[in-house]
Amino acid sequence: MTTSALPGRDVRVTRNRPLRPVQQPSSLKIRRSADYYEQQMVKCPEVCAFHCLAELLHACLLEGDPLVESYVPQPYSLRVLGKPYVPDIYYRKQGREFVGELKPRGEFDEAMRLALETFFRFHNKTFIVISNEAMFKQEVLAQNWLTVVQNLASSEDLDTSEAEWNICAAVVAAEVLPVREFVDAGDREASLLEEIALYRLLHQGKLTTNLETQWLDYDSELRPCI
Amino acid sequence: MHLNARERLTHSPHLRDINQWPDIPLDQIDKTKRRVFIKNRRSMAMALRGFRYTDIQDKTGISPSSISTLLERALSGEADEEPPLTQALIPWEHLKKSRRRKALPSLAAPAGTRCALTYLLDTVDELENKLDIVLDGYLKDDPHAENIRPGAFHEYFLQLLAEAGHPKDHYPHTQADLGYEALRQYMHQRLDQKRMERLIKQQPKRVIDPSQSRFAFGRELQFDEQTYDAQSVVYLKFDNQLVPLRMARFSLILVSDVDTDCRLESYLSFTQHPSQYDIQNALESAFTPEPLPELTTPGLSYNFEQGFPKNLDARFTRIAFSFTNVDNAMAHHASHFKSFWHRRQFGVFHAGIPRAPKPRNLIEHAIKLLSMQAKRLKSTSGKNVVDPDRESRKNQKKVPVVTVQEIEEMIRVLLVKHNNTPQPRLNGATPLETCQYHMSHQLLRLVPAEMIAAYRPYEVRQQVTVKWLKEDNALPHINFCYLRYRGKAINDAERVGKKVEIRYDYRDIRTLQVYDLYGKRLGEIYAPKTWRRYAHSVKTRSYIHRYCRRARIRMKDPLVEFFWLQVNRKNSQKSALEVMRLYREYHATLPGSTPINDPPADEADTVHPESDFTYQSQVPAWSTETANAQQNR
Repeated sequence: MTTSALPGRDVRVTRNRPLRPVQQPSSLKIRRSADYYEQQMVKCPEVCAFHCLAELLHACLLEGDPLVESYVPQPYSLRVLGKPYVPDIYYRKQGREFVGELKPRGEFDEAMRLALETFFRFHNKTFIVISNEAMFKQEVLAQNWLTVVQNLASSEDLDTSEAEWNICAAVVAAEVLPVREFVDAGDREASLLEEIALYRLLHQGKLTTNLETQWLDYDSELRPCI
Repeated sequence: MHLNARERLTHSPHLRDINQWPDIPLDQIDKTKRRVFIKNRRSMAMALRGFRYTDIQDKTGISPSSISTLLERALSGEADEEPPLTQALIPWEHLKKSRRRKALPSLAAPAGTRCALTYLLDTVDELENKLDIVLDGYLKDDPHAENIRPGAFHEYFLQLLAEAGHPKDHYPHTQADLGYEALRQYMHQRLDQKRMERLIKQQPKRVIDPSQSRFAFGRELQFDEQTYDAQSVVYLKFDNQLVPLRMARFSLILVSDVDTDCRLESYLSFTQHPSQYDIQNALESAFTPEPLPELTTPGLSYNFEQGFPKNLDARFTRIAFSFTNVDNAMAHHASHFKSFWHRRQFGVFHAGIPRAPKPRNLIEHAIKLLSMQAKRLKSTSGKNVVDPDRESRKNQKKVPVVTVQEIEEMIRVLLVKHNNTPQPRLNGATPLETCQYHMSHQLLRLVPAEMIAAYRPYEVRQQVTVKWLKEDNALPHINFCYLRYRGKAINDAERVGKKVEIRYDYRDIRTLQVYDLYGKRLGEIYAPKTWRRYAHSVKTRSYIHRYCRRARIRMKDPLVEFFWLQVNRKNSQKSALEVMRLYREYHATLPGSTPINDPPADEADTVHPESDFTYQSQVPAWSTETANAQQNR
């Protein structure tokens, strides 16, 4: 595939000029033909659409990374080398902006990669290709974060500031405490605020627990991160 | 690279120890060969330890040349392949695929035909490739190919031999069957080989399910809608007479949890194409706390205290499922169904790839189990039109014996039994016990009660424009679902031409609540009087209007006349299904719905807090007198 002398010129924005990341709607054709997922997320506060399992897991990992400020799936509608193209993800991490494409084994057309890297570098963004296999290796972690996100999405109106403070103080004092210390298995309604506060603290990175190899449960040990 | 025995022992020194060779139990070797096998093994062990061949001959009676041959047979071969080892010590054991060395039999020089076909396929140019083309066309479903049979394949074989100039006095022409049997066996072996290659190639490469997932109640929910394979009868009372109507097959929507295999709900939808509203009703019912309904069918009983998880305790009505797996039906991509996931469950909505039912295997299997029970009824439609269990012509002339309610109760009893049956995959626990255990011992996700209270499953919000036909001296109106809605809420000249938001219960659209775009409530507006007699849904009104376009009924009071016309068409099974659906809709107990006659004189006196958006069902019973009164108006 031939490209122009300036590869970035092969990329055109077809929607939302200037380059503002807004989730592009998925057509009914894609929704019915792809392995399609939808989930209300937190760092991207809307119902996010994903076109494969790897994209969903990647978004869950972004939710769990305290350095990631926000992300947008399917952010731009572009035309690359004459063909329509929608990147899979946009996210901001530590002040830097990244635009990502998830592919099996990280295989992506070289000409397109070059064009997109140059184009986004001109706009102070970094274009990266992420392999699906890297997401599947962190399945347990991603699914744990998905549980946290779903809990937060269902309770966004609850005020848990006091409960967060109490939990933080208790965990810092004790250094390690199990989740059952705050969540009453017999009366979940009574400990609802503490439960949501706990998830918020995990999401903010103020508490940590082993989510890589174990499912989030009553016995998960909480440790302070502050 | 080919290695002889000496090179093999240099390459793999561990093979000098015969105990490192694979062990073949003696009882797996034919009795007649065991003695020679033992002798061979003994001589091999001695040869590998360095005994002189003549000494071995003294002890075992095997000549030195035979010992060398045995060594070569057991250890030689390609460097990257495993040598035969112990298998080579079994006398007369075939280690390689047989190949013919002798020339083919001919009329002048008769001989055996062993491996003759393989010889032909190897020596005649392009014979094997051309025969493969025939088989490939069949397997790939090529429209130019044929559904190959052994007889036709044999004809191809003979024709290709003739084209290749094969002599007519050589095999297969020396045989009475012209090599048919050998070719038939070859055809089946080759087809199996090619099928296996295609299957291996066709294995899905994309990952559609995580390889690791938690085992917990509430992880994944599956549901499906399918036509129930049995017809039933419904009795309607007209003029103090019970009229039986044969009903077409209705649809069954089954909702189930995947990990515990616990059935959550079954819902009958009186249409063969359930809509998003039917699916939403089924899902809402699965999470609505209500006791098991009383059984009215004689001979049926639950036999268990608990039926479904929602009967256990209040926590099970708040359970939030993390995933749902649905197929690509349009109803599943509709807004109402998705709003259940994003505003009630807050879970992942997953619509899988087309023509891939395996991820939904559990629910497909569950419905299949219920279908097997349906086929016990005499009024079953069977598996296909030639199924001997399919309802006979004699029975088709009469109405079925089993009623809709009896089938409904049968299905419920079966599901309750399933939920209380121990399962091996649950370590002997029942699905309900497993749900209870998970709820007590695992951190399951529950939706806060406030979010459930705030969720109104049947409420629809829509923005519409206020219109005003000044020339007709009419009050402003809103166009909604084929009609003009009027009321004091929109009697404001400043609102004409502007957008307002209407909110309504899609099950009863006789009134609409009007709000401005900032959420301030303006009041209620009403459908025309003729449409206020009975609660009816968006679907019913749309159906009536489409039906009316064919000018088959009068528009004046169409609800009652439509119903009467359906009854008069009682010979039509599909109409009977529609009658049943309408009957249930008209007599549905909607909390808070009242028959709307006129707008209240002073709307300020009526209290309509947002949380009190409910209806009471006080629809009067339908009777012929009412219908006739309308007809004669």
